[in-house]
Amino acid sequence: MKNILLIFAVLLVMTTACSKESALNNGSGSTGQGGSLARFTIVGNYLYTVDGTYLSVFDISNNNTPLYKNKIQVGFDIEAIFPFENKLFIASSTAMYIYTIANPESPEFESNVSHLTGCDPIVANDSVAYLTIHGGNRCGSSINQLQVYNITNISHPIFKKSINLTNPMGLGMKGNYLFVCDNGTGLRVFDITNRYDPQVVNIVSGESFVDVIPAGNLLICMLTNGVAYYDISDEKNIVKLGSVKN
Amino acid sequence: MNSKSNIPLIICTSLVTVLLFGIVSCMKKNNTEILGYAPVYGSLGDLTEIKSEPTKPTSNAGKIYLYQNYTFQMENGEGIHIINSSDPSNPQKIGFIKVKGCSEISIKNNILYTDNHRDLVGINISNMNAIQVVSRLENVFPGTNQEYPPVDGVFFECVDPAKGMVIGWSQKMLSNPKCKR
Repeated sequence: MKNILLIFAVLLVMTTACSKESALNNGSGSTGQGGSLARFTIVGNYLYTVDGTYLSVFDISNNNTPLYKNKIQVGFDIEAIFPFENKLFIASSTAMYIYTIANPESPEFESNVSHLTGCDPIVANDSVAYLTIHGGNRCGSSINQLQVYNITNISHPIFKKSINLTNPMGLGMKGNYLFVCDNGTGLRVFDITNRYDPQVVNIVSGESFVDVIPAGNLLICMLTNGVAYYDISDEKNIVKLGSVKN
Repeated sequence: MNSKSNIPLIICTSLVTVLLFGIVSCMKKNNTEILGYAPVYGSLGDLTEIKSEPTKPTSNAGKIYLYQNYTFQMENGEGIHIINSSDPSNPQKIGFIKVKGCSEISIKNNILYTDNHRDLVGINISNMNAIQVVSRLENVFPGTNQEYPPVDGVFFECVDPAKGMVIGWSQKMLSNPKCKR
């Protein structure tokens, strides 16, 4: 009986892992996975890119003939793009913009949240958006924070919380855990069982972390001097597996 | 008599002052060590040449991308490292793709999309050691900024135009950076 239960549990875990992976792959065919600092992202048959001021849309359904479909002015100092289902989260130095891509060739503006300058990337799902702000602004003040927004209603994001950090950069989400590269301190692991109230449960030091890609039980980390791999099957006890630095 | 006995004291005090000054300036240096950006210099000469090359050392580590059993890491401004990460405890570089002025990457159906200065290029990576350019859309991006990094609110190493054209910006630990955006 115990064995049957165990097999059932394993099967259940496998099914969950599978559905998570397909959610990460953003559509049909074989698509890879980028970090939160990315300015290129593929959703279905479309490549979305951000640069400075614009969001560009490319139809890539034909492998050998991409088509430039659209160019939308978003704001200033656009820094990163993060897709979730039919939404695009765009980070600029002064704001977070949310677009919907129900019509993939014509992203539609839903809302934006202005915050203090010095922004960095965003990760999000259907109910919460996490973004980091680093380095402060041109006026000389220095703000280093993780910010939490309730985005259940994407037309009206609601600020929930900010957490002071050292020099945060990229971030990534895996189930009930959020990984934040806090340069100068290490890789911070937050328990986000309560989505709007992250609690730090682990800090991994020893490397200069810049960004992360959570892929199942593997965390791939961009370092200032290379790339490193961590086993995150136990988020409170992360184990370094290997690295490539030269 | 008095002035003679003062000499060793003066020397001692000066030495201590010099030492203290040294220690303080060292501490200052450590305190201002911060993650910022530095320009990657290059020439316009072979800007659009894209080809497979042997593995090379990582010196300006950029963004990362996971595709099947491979991790790609940008070498800012210079190209893309290909890493076989099927065994994450023993990841191995297996090749390099030369792409000048690059910083971004995304892959679908074995086609790698990246920025080659102002162009969007599509590269077929079915054979990782003999990649092939399959598409190029010209002048769709603004290109690498020659004056400051692509991110706001950061320190950076000031640009020295005498060193050539800026083909990329790389995140680096900087001590006492003079420029800020």
